[in-house]
Amino acid sequence: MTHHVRWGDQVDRIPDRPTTATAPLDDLRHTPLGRIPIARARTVALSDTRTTDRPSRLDVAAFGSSI
Amino acid sequence: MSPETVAAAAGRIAEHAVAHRLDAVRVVLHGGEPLLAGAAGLAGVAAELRRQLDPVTRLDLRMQSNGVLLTEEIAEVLVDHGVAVGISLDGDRAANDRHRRYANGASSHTQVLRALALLRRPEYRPAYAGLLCTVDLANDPVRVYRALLAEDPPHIDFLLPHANWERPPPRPPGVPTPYAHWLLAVHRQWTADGRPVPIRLLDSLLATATGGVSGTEAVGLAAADLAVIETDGSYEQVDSLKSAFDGAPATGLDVLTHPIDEVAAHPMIAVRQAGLAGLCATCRSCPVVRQCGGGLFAHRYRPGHGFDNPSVYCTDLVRLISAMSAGDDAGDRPVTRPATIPAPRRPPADGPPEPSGPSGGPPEPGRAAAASPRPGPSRATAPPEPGRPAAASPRPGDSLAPAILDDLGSGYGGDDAVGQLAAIHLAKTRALLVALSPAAATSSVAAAGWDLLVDLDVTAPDAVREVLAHPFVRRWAHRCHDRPALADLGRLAAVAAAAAIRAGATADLAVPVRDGVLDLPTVGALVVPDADRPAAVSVSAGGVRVRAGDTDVTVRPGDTAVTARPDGAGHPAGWRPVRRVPGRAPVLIEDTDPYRDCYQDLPVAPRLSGPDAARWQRHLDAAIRRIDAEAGEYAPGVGAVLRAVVPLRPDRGGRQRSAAAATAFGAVAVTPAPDDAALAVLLVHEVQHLKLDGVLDVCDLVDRGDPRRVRVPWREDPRPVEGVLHGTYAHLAVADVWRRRPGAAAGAHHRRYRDWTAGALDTLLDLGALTPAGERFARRMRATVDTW
Repeated sequence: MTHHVRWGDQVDRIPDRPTTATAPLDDLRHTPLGRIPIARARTVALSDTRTTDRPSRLDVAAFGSSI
Repeated sequence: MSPETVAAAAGRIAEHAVAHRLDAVRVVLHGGEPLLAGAAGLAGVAAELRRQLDPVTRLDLRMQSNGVLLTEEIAEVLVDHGVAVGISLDGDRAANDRHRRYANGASSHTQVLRALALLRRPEYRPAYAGLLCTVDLANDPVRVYRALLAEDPPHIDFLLPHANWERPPPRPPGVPTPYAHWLLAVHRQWTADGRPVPIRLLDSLLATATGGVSGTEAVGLAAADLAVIETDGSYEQVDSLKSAFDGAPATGLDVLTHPIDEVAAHPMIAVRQAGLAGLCATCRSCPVVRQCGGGLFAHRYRPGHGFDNPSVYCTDLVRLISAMSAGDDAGDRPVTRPATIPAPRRPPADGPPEPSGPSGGPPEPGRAAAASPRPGPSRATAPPEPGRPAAASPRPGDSLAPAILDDLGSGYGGDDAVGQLAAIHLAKTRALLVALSPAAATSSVAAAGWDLLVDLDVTAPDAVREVLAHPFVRRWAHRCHDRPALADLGRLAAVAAAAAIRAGATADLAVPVRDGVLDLPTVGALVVPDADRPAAVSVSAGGVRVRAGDTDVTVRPGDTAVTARPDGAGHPAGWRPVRRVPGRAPVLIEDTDPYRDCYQDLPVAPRLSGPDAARWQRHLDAAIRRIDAEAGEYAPGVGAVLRAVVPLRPDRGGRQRSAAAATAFGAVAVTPAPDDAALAVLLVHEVQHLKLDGVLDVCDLVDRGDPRRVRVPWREDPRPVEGVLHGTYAHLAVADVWRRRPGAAAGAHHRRYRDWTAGALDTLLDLGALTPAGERFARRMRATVDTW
């Protein structure tokens, strides 16, 4: 199956990938935005930010090479 | 300053750096007004400094300016030569106009804000060092703080007005410590806001309270390490001493004749390197001396006693430090606002910033913890199964299945595994947006955007997904959460408008214009130079109509070009369509998004010209094809994860540079590569980082509480454990790519990267800092390397 997007000189083709297991955080993708519980969203969102009490994750990884 | 004097000054600084093996040197260009030198003049000075200093030390090159004369041409010079400029701004228009007017009395505020808007543009952001504000009791402290914050500065610093015991600062009757109250009001609001931006004076006081180092000579006991070189080549002490008495900064020395060591031996500088012993008896016996350090040297001057006195701001500093240390400034009395306050003495117009202490670079080798095995606390706390969820309240299904984790741990990752990483990214972005939605309700623009997005998510979910999957939508949402006081919630409207456009829906909404640009993620950007309010955007199947100020433009679907037409060729004026890689439609060449400048010291390129964009398209297409052909195991990752390539400016040292950011999942930033073979290596390397970022979004692989730093062969600075894991995972793939290429040079590259990877894996597996899932992941990497 292919999703077609209407804008652009060339149609985007984003093929659905067969999965053998459900990807994590499935509820957040398949529940409409307006129905996702705020508390659930905050729990997941805050693990992405420094506002949690966890040490922040590395953000930027940079690579320099003379190749 | 003549070229000869610049060369002599650079030579003296280089000589000093070599003699003392200095890791870094900061040079600040100031005046007067350094922008008066013009683009060519500044380029000449910066180039000479870099020519002599870059080979011997790390040059931190800065400038202090009022910003009025800043132009795009000069901003290009600043970024090209790595010059970061601090702008003097005292608050909002009323505050700034008290002291910063033209000779004819006209306000300079509009010109300063124009300069700041220029510096905020992603392509010039590396040249934005911060804001320097002089305290004026006549200005409301919180309004000043808010006005500074609105300019989104990387740093803020506050200066106390120049004063000494002969000419003390103005103080309202009956208020003994008004400057403390003023700064405490800022401190309260800054703390309540979650400290969204570093404030050097306050950060320094907080740091010194716990034995840390001050970042400013205004407080703390750090040795003075600053000298001024005047335009004629004479050495002087800090400019602030000019406020004490005529000739106070003079040393009688100059760059043509004297090395910097002779300046350091000058009695007035030597006494400022003596720490506590260099202070007066009153200060030495004061309980807060290790924080205030006696205050700014110039503030100690008293005729007849020289500088052997406490600061004229002593009572304010004691009150400020005491209240901050005790955390009791909440009840501090407000600033008394008398009807008239005598104008404080100002620093010289746009004088130099206060010199800072250590530059915050990599830790010194001697201060890094050695990488040695130790019992890993994670072993006691981590559950036995791989893929422990990272979320604070994990649910079943919030982590990767063991088989998926194993597949990714091999370094590769099939369609199923990498598809899950892309899905995690989308879920995280949706969570970030939903978590923002209550705050969005406080803004009519943001609320309307959110409502439209919620509707489209039901009626056109594919279009919403395409926009929300864009790396910089997540980056923007992340920043909103990370710095709520600076949250750009209005961008929700831009996100919704982009989704509506992609859906072919009908919608009318207001979309903010940021620094003269209306940006629609994944669609394009419209330059709207004179808009002072949100643009009216009407979306329909026939196109997008944008009305803002004098602009009334309709962009039609065909104007969102895949091809690399130059801007203006066949498009509406000011429209900059997003460009894509032909044949790789999901991959954008991202040179318009305002949130793309997230790669630390790597400056992003401005909007590409048509020919440059075409060159990028060809190289990217060829590089991705090459990955497909020569390193097919990495192709699924590139195909599923890579959504945007951000062109970087060429590296000054000529190196190939690239970067990825966890909060901009799906984007890779790269400098122009000489050919598709080099670009393919960079892409594979960065996509590996992104793959690991996706894993770490839902799985703890390292004990993040482990403070140790580990030396690795690919970096000079010791790295945290997660950084070692990242580098190892990326270099595994680089080694693998070179393994598959013919020739002796490729073989040598392969062996080098293989050895780095193998050595780092040994270190990681011996360290005791991996969780059980992390250890299993690393052993999968080890197994791949062992097959070579």
